[in-house]
This record gives sequence, C-alpha cells and structure tokens, in this order.
Amino acid sequence: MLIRVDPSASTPLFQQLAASIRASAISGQLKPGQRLPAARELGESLDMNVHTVLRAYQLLRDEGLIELRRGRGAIVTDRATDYNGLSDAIASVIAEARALDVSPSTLTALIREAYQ
Amino acid sequence: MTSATAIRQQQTTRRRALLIGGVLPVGLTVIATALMISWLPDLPDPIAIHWSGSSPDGYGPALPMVFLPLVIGLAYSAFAIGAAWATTASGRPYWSQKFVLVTGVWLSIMLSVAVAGSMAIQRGLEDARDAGDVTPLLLWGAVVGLVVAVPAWFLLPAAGTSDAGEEQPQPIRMSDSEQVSWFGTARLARAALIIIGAGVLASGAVAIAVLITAPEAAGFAIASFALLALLALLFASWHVTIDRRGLRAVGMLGWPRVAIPLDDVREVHYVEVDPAGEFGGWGWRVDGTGRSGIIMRRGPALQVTRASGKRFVVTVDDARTAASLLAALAGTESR
Repeated sequence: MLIRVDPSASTPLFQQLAASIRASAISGQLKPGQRLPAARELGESLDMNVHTVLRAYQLLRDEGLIELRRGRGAIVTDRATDYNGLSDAIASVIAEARALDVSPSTLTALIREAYQ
Repeated sequence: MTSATAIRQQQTTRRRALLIGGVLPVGLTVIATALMISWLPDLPDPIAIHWSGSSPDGYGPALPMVFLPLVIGLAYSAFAIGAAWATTASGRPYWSQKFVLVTGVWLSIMLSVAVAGSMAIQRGLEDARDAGDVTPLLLWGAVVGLVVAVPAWFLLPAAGTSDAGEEQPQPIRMSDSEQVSWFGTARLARAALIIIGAGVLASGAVAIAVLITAPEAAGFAIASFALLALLALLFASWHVTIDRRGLRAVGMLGWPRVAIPLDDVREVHYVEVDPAGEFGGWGWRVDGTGRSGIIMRRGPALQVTRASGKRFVVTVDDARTAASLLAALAGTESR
C-alpha cells in the first residue's frame, strides 16, 4: 500500500492520509481483512503526529471502510470490495464527460446536484 | 533466451548431470552390491547390522543389507537428476542443483564403503557377535566420498544464476515536500507453508509419542518441537516498510528485523527469484553468489545493493511499486 501526503498542500493532512488509504482500497491494493499499520508506526513513517493518523482512521471508520478494534488495530472491512463497482462507474462517467468536453468543475457540480 | 548456445549448454548440463548424478553413483553401488553378493557364502547368519560403540548390538539377515546401497543410490539419483533437469535460462545448472548431484556421489560412496565394509569384516566369522568396530569404516566412507565428490563438482558446468534479470525500476515521481511510505508484506508461499507446517506437526507428534513411551527422553523431543514451531513463527511472515528512513523488514513476532537506511542504498532492482533453484529453499537465505534475502515465494522481488556491495532480496507483494519508491527515495538514479 503506497501512501503519499504533502504537508505543504492546503488540504488538511488527515484528509490527505484518509484519501490515500481510500484510494488504495478502491484500487484493490488493500483487501478486506487486511490490517493497516498501527497509528504510531504510520505516524513515524510519514513524520506525522499520531493524533493526525488516528483522526484519519476515525474518518475512514465513519465511512465504514475500516473497523477499529482495541488491541487489534485497524482492519479493512468488506466495503473495500463494494467500491469496485463505484470506481468502475466513476471511470465511465469521467470518460463520458471527457468525450463531451465537460470540465471537472461542471461534472462535480452535476454530481452534487443529482445527489441532493 | 533460448539461443542456440543456451540449448547446447543445457544439453551439456543434462549429460553431465546424468553422468555425475546417475551413472557414477549407481555404478559404484552396483560394484559394491556385486562384491557383497560374492561374499554371501562366507558370512555368518544372521550378520551384525547395527553397532553401539565398538561392538555389534543388532543382527539381521544379510540379503536386505546387500541391496541397501543400491536401492538408496537409485532412488536418490532419480531425485537428483529430476531436480537438475530444469536448468537456468542460460543452460547452466543452479549451484543448488550441483550440490544435490554431488551429494548423491558422496552418499553412494559413504553407504557402499560402510555397508560393504561392515560385511567384509564379518567374512569367515562363525558368530556375528565377534564382528569388530565399524567406526573407522564410516569415517573412511565419508572421507573417500568427499575426495570424489569435490572433483565431481568441478566436472559439472559452472553454476549460473536465474537470468530473468535485474530490472531498473522507474522511480516514483514525487515533490520535495511530499512524504511517501510503502507498507507491504512478504508471506510464505502456500506450498512452503504446507511442507513446513507438516514438519512442525510431525515433530509435535513425535514429541507426544516419546512423552508416552519414554518420558525420561521427552525433554529433547519437546525442545526440538518448540524450536521448530518458534522458527516457523519467526520466519513465516514479514512486514516490510519503505519510507524516508529506508527499508525495514520485521518478522511476525517483532524479531528478527532487517533495516537498511537510505544512505546505505546504492542500487535498487526489481528481480525474479526462484527459491529452490537459487536459494535452496524458503526462509532467510543466502544464495551461491552471496546474495542474502527473505525468500518466501517464487516470483518478483525487491533487491537492494548496499554501499558495501552486499545484495539483499525480499519477496514482497507488489515488488515493482516498492522498488520504484525506494529508488526515488534513495535517489539512486542520480548517482
């Protein structure tokens, strides 16, 4: 699992970290049942505060992508496979938007509109 | 890489493997068998077949012993030649295949000298209880075996390596402000897990059997079982991390651990490994060319050349990403 964060970017670090882990789950690098590195370990590796890592883990838990168990750490749930269909759908939506010359901001606006 | 030279080299390797691993050891055991058959009329019945210290303590009929070296020699030769048949892509044998082949030479001489010798000293005896000491015969067998096995090694073609090759990874693009880490595992292949698991279970069964039949000797059996189980646990699965600090591989129980700091990384390669052919098995291994590594399965692996020139291999999942990141972090492309 490759994790990349950029402390100089404007997006908060915990959101970047969560996005990176989410991307790994969507691309299939992370499989259900797999355990994420301990928060302390991940923090040391990325030169990041352990609380920032825990905040990212809590965000992913609220999304149902991981389970946090005392003593066992963060485990990827079955939801990771559910994302397969979504990522395929996103890919086809983007392909369609590109073909029609719809800009990314227009596309996100359309999705937001439809979602409400 | 199936060039004409590789095919010719492979034919040479196989011919020599047949000669050194088959004709030589089987031929020697046939001679020993013929000798023993000719001695049958002069031998006591039963003959001594087991010694403790310098005097015999086990007796049995002569005929099964006569064929023992031949049967073992044939079985081992079949195994060794089978193991040597698939050569490296260049047609040369792996060093481990050479080792298996010359071990057959040593084994057949050792067995022939020991078994035929133990009969030679019983010729003309009325009672096998008078048979002398066989320890010198065992030593002679081992020494003569070695004297023949060493030149046999050099008669086999020089060992090659898996030429699947080293591939330079494309370093991951990253900005100076970015922090990138990679987390992966190196887990034992299922086949190896089954073999090792069976070994651990068998030693556990032996420990239980000894505990029931001879409790006073159980300490050793239990200790062997515990040691095997511990080793299997220590080496069966590794967590591998690549980040700003370098490469770290940590065993399942937190030990052993290997750490290579970034400034000790001189080169990074993406390689293909063959556990049995190159490293002689699974685990924490060293191959014939001095490479060490954590070899858990066949296939793609990450190889790091350290500043000292020593090479370390680990069979991580997604070795390509791991190699690309380590190459980018260590900046190996700019040196």
